[in-house]
Amino acid sequence: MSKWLRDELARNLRPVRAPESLWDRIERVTEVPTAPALHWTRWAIAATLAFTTIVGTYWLPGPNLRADVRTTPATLLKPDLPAEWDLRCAPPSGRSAYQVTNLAARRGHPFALLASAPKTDEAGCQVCHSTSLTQHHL
Amino acid sequence: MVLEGTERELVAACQRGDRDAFRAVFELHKDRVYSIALRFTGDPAAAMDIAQDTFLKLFSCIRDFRGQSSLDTFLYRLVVNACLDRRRKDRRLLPLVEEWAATLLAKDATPTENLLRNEVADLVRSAIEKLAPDLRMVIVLRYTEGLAYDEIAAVLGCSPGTVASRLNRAHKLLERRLGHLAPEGGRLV
Repeated sequence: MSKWLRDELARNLRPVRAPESLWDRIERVTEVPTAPALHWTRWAIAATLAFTTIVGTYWLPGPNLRADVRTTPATLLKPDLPAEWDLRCAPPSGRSAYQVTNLAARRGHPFALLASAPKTDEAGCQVCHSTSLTQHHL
Repeated sequence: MVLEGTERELVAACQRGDRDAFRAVFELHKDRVYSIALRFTGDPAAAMDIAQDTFLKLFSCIRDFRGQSSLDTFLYRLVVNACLDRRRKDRRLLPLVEEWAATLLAKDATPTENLLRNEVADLVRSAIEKLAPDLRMVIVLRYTEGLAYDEIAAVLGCSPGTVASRLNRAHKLLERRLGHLAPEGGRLV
């Protein structure tokens, strides 16, 4: 390689000074990472909070609920609904969907959630929202 | 361990999260990182982005740095990877007005000579820009940082023989593209 080309490369590729604003940009983008000890502390706090939340949500209410179930008379737990009533889509003859779901709710039937349905007979199936209540379609 | 005493202490301080140590590392290496990025991309804005990304990456992973190589080599790898990740083929090499003016406008040069030098500099930069990224990076590390073959090999993760081969190919390509610019008596061989 010629001296001319070597000199040209050296001249055109020589090092330059970094702009003063570079550090400001770095600081602006994010904080410099903190010490490892604090890092672990954060993890420990997060894990404790997560554990407490899980226990508080799922485990603590458990015994009370189980006690309620044990002490509640069976007649109250078992909804007094005719066996042939199918609560999914078709209400029994003479009963509207709202009446059925409301009754089920008051008796503690698992379908109690359906009782929040609109108070109209045209509400139809509370599961699939169909207004065609004359046949099963689930 | 390749780290020397002071550098090791600096790295250890960074690993403890010492903010002053981060700043010290930045001050030590900012010009080097920025120069490589600028010479590779030819674009000051892209070079700033690359330098910023490189230092952020360094600060975030310095806890994992065990000192198997020098901090220089570690940093070179980061900036090389950042450059290669951010190839901007559509960006032209832009002249650095402040940078070039001092060099090109020599005191004793006539306006014609300055114009000619400016033209040559543009053509040289353009020829460098047209090199494939792996060849360009070898040229940048060699001429901007003055690294030896084995140092370039350590940074790029290849053998010194590969570095020599790439440099040779890059030189030949540049000679072919710039040969007609060589002044009389300085003919390329």
